[in-house]
Amino acid sequence: MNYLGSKSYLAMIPEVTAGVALKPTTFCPLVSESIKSMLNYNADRRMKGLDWKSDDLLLGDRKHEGDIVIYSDGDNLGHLLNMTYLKGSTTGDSDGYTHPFTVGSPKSYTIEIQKGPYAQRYFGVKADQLKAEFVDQKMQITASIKATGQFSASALKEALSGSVTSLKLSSAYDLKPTAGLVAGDVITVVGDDGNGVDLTLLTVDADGETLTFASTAITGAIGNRVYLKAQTPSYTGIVDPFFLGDTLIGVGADSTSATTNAGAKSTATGMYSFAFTLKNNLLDASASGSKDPLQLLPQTREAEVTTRRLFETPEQHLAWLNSTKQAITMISTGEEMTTAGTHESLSVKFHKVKLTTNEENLEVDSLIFDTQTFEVLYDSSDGSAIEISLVNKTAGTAY
Amino acid sequence: MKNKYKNISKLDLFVPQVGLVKAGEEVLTEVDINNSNFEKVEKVKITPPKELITEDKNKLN
Repeated sequence: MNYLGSKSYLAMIPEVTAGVALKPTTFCPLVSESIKSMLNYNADRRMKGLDWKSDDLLLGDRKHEGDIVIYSDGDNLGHLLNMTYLKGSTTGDSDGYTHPFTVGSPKSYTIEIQKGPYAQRYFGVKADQLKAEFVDQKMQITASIKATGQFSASALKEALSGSVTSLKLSSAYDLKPTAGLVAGDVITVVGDDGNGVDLTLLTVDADGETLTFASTAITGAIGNRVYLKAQTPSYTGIVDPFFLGDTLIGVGADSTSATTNAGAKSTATGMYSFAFTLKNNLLDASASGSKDPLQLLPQTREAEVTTRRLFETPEQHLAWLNSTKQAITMISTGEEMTTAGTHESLSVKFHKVKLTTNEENLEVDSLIFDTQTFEVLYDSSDGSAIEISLVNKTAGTAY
Repeated sequence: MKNKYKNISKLDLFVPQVGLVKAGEEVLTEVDINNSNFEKVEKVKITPPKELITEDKNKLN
């Protein structure tokens, strides 16, 4: 049987304790996904009297990382921001919740991605990098994530026969192979007849290998497949992403004037392309206690903004030559949430930016553009580098 | 085989291949819904009360 990628889902949930999985219940439509586990197998090069390179592989440091690409609608963007930056206190009500995000420790997430009949679950997930760009009007977010572990598939450690209420998973992948599973998960055990038996987990034992469930008749040999059954996604009204056309970008000498300029189309700067990248530079080194990264910790944060705007005066060229401080505020207005006229919105303030490159390339028949790259700097006078505010219809408790 | 599922959440949910299921409503579908917002409604077996079970009088002893 073959499976179509379009039928897959991304599900997310913030963890209460970082690295301890929960069952993800918020489903988000994916544009693409390329998360992979790198087991870093190496050939066993010990001298064993062979004239062949090796007769086995040995495990190296395991890593789990890759990209999630989604369209940036207010509700789902909130989760990706929450795994990148620190969310402050949410204000507002069901007519519109306002979530402030500042540079700080992000929440750790459990995410799940469907691959045909099974789901690949990653836990302890944080964003190493978050890139926002407008692709054909739509704001697209690429979250480069890292995780502290995964559960997807395993095998039976012991044979099952007749009515059983528990099973043990093989420790071939990890000494605690049940990490990532939680009570309430549905796993599929492939029986000797080749048919899958679905089991709803009652408990995940602290021994790291035993799972219990209601009495079920299964006949299965050692090594039979056991996998996390993919959930059926459910969506609570998918809203449109933020559009470039509904985005105003203000540039000014400081954040106050940039924000004022972003307040109206007449004072905002028309950007032909606009993208920003937030980086957390997560520490994902291996340490004692885990074959996977023990924990993911943000190190030095940095960010970059790239823009393309029409060249009008040498102002930006001079700003680049003289390394002049500027500030940028982006305000995107999204769908209307209530009849009262409250819209979803995203505002991102870059308090201090300086140009690292400003190109004014000439092409026959074309107007001259300033193609710019800004380094986002910490603004000591404002005491901040970046401030993000998101208005959506998701209560703060969901984050 | 069709199964009945109830949306036990407080939100109207859209399920691919099933459609919109309003909060608290039940849906009859062939899709196997494995989602914590949905609860399978088990079919209740209806057995006739004992007094209504008539004895087969033609039965040979």
